[in-house]
Amino acid sequence: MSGSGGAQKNGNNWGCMVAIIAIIAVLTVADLIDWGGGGDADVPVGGGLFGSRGAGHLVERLNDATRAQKICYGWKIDTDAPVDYREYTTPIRPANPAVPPPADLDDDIDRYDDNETDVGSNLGTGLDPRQHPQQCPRWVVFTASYTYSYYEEKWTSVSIDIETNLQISIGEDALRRAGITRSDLLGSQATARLADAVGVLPMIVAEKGAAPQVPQPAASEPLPGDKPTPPGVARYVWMGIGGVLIAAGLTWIIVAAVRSRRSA
Amino acid sequence: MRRHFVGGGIVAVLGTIVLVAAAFSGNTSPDRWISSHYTRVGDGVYRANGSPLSVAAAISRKFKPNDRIYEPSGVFLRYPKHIVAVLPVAGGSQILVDDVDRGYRRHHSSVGSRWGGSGGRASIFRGGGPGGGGK
Repeated sequence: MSGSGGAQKNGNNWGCMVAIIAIIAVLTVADLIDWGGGGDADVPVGGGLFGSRGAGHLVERLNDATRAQKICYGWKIDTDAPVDYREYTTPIRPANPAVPPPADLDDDIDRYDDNETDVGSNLGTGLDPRQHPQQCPRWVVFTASYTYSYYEEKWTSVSIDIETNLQISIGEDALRRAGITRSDLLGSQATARLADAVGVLPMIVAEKGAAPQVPQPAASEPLPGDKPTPPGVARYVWMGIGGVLIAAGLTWIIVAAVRSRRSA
Repeated sequence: MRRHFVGGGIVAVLGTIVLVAAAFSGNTSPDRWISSHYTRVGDGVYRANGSPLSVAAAISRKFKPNDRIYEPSGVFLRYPKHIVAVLPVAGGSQILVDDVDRGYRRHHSSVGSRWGGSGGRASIFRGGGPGGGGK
């Protein structure tokens, strides 16, 4: 009787151990997956919120829009995170400016009172079109102000606005209709969504009839080795996790049945 | 003994749910829906009367993309097997539906480095902001 009870107790312990190991494995693997979210590995190279390459892409696209629409576009984002925020190590400027660059460009960075605000435009990083009426008599600027929680180590809220001196009304609802919401701007792809919120401005202005549409940029061919990211990696990882759980559950049942038969 | 069957059964059923959910998620692609809702003007090319933002929003509502890109010159939607570009044309939008490789090459100036890169690793606009928030 006591032997049977001991075997059953051992079986219970073993089963619990399998379940705990399976759950720990699931949580560990889920945490290790690169869901495309943040993390130290995603700290932008070259400083700033977008990194030098991201900011360079954004500046060039806005420069294309300025050339087509004769309107300056920019962004001003208060990150509220002075510890982690670094200014762009090298200012980004458009290769072929659509409007003449401000004079004394190197000394003309539009500094704000804090060191946590990311500013840029078709003129380049650090340059706010509202501060350069000669180059930018007409402008549209996306502004965002984040609240950063040092406890949660992430942005917890954001207020956004679109400021313009055009004779049209553009607000947060225009972004929402386009599919960009505050929740997107707080999510795991916040940096990409911020770039989208800035990049979509010329299209919103065109749809309101205040300017022509922006033509497609010149085609560029991928370099050798430049290929698309494989889609749905996480899906296969979850399928693997499901398989492991099934195997663990069946193993638990089989081992318990064998032990029970031996002890009978 | 019964407890083991219940415990093992719960773990196995949980695994089955995870496996089935993962297997059936991400298989949706909007190409057939687009071909039935918009005017075909060429191989993988469609015409819509709405603006690019409204057309892209309609497609995204019907089929949630894995990712999207808003550029001054168009909207790009990434699905597991397709890249859909919604571009402005006179009086409406042009919709281009490509498989991922062809779409990545065709729209490289807009989606390059973001949906791919050297060795297939994206290099711009990654993460949730300072401190890696949002993960």
